[in-house]
Amino acid sequence: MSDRDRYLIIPGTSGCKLLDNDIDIGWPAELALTSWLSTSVLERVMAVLGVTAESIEERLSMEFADAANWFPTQSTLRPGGSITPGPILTAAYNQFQTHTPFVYDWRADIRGSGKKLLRFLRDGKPSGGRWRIVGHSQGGLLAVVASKLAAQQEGGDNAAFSQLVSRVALLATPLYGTVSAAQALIQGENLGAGFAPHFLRLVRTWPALHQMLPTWRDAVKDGAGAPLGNLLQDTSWPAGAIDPAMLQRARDTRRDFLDDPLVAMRDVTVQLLMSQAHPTLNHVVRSGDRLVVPQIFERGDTLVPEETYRRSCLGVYERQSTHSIGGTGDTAVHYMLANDPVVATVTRRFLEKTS
Amino acid sequence: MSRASAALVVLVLGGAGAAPVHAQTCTFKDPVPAACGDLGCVVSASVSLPQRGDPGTCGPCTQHAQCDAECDLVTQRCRGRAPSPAPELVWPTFHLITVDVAMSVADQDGTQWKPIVGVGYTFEGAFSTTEPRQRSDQTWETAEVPRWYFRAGGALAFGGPGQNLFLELGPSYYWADGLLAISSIAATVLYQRQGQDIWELTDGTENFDRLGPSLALTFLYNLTVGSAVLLPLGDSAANDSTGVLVFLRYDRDVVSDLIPDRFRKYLSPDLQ
Repeated sequence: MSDRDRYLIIPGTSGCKLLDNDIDIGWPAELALTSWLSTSVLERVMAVLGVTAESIEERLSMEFADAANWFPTQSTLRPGGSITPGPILTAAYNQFQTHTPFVYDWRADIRGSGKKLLRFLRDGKPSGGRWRIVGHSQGGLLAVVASKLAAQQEGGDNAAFSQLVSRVALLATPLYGTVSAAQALIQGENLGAGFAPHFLRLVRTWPALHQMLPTWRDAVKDGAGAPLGNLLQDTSWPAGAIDPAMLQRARDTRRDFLDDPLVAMRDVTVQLLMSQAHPTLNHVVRSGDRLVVPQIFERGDTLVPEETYRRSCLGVYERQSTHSIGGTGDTAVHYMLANDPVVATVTRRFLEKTS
Repeated sequence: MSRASAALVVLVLGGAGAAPVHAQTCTFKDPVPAACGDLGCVVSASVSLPQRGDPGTCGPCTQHAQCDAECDLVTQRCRGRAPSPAPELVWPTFHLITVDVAMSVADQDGTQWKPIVGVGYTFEGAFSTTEPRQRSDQTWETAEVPRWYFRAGGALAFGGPGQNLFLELGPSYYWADGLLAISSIAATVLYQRQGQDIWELTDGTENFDRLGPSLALTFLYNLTVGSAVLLPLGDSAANDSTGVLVFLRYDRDVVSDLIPDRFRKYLSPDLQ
């Protein structure tokens, strides 16, 4: 180890603010409140104040006109607007405040964000040292993409990433997807039930959510519990329920970057940290022309289903690198997991190890 | 001939139309070398979305998932990789640099409306350690995690009525799935030293000391609300009465998380 190693934290989905032309748009607290108010009995009052559900939808929607491009044509549909990532939300990462944050637009294509991460790692590589990274949730997927890109750019050398990075803690990273992403695309109640019709439209412009759809083959079941496939397949979705171009983008991402997630981390010491303390969704049900999210749970962190990952998804090396934490309700839920004393201590200890 | 080589021969011969023989069988995403040597575990192409546990046969690898860690796509042989080091026993701790806002609601002069705003630090350490164990599927598990911690904290304030030093020590209960987003409950002893010159240890005319029980709830790991009943320690000309203190303590950055820049100008200078 070098004393000059640097520590990096990559937050998860919603883990940093969003700025529109450098002005904080109020994610998450203010936007959640205004989204709710704009579809409540105070709708007219909000409209007088210039806030409508339509304006929020317009602002949060993206455009990817070129299906092959990793970067958006427009980061917001608000005329004249430009959304960029803002500061990390320290409330969710208060145990890692000495780490350098890498912030990104967590709505955008994971490949584009991973490419920016790789550039950031190269530009900021400590001389005589390497990076030690904790990637929470989607942040871990960015580290995976960056490792694959590094290998691709070095002629397929799966050890290329290790020139930049010595240790990676993938904290609650949905390496094989999460039903929560599907739930957002099916129900859209993340900013309140009243705002759901708007959220359903805007979230279908976010590639990252599609790229985190569950990949295990019984992620979709029929009413009798028989497996129908995963949620990256066109046939799993009712007509009109999803943008086929986004689904294709998600399949391309998985094939090129997210399958075999640790392959390009040769000579990097990796740990997959998961919680097994909370009820977590593990499938959706196809019922006629509808997808339904049943209230059937297994152990996980509320987003990553730990049991399904171990039973169906993780390969041998991935399992050997997996550390599941918690019993029943004694560990923080997914979005706060980096604040959990045990998880944070285990992560810090892992990153600080010298051998 | 190794089992791997034998399996390869079987496959090659089979492909050449030789008499049918049974290739070595294996289980997808279970340890491959035990069954196939440096060959991969190949699941039939007719299986849609292969997953762990599917039956396969040993053969040259064409995908990384057919190997424990990695397939050399040129030689079509699996490459081994040293497993990550086993997780270690840890002593869980929690640290927070805070902003402390306290108000004395029942004191010798009644309620002091001007809040005492200070900067503090809170540390929590578990009363026990964790012990990871390896499961039969080779993953590691820490199933039992500590619920009880001790809290030690302090804050210094130079606003409000003179200077203030607060020190706190006592147990806290970690309540990860707490109601109303409560994440811990602490019952501690709080010490307060207040005065014009709190560093002057012998001065009983300008400074006073109080000590008493405190109860505090922490929400979402960032925001603590509590109250303490503070009893005078010794005789002090400055203040010899019992006081009731309510306090709010939050991560130093949480205000900027929750309140967008354009609204922050409406906060009091202390809170900013």
